[in-house]
Amino acid sequence: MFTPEFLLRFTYLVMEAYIIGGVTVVLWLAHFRFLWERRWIILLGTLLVSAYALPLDAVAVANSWGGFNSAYISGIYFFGDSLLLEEIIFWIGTASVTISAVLIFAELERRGVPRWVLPVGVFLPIEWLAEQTAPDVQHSPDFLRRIT
Amino acid sequence: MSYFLILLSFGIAPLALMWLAAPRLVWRHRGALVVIVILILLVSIPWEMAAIDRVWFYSPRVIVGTRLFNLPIEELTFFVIDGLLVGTLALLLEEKFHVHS
Repeated sequence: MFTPEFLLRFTYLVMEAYIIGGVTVVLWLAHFRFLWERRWIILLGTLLVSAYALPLDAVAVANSWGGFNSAYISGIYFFGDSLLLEEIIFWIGTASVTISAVLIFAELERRGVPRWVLPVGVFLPIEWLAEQTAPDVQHSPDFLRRIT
Repeated sequence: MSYFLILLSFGIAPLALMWLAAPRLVWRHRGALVVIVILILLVSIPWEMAAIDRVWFYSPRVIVGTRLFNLPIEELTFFVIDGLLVGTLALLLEEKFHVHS
């Protein structure tokens, strides 16, 4: 059952779990409240991106524009053997991570945080970064409500 | 059909439409878009280098053959366009539904 050949078939899934899953955990640990308040935007955006990209992905595979090595994938396909499970996870995962990160960066920009600082917004709280880098910028009502 | 043509049709075209729909919003948050693209490239290039031609591959008839970091130039272009497209969509949705702190 658990032969090396069998385990290799989870290569793509493990890569996704490690990279997309890892970034998702970091983003939500650092920004749970902020992202939770925007969960419907993240969900809607992810659905729109997936609905747009997944058919293209399936068409590309169906026309042999690209493909996968069967030794490294689960082999679970949908919609006529063209849409690989890992590709569905890829589009849903990368869309939600990208949308979440951009919402965080945009909030930091609104608070006057210098652009070169934005990347650390992935893992550092928005309020703390704004306090450290742009203390003269007016705080958001949400922040003032919480500290008073 | 070439990979570049697909990127042009299904990537650049909707991106241009979104930028034309809200140019000031996009310009105001250009830093967020640039940063997300840089982060996507930093994460994706090593991932892609490990997987290309092993886990997945592209037919030689759809790519031009130019490679950077051993990756088809189209794949790198995809990361940039995808980041800008999804990032711009996030900004538009946030603006539309007025979810600001």
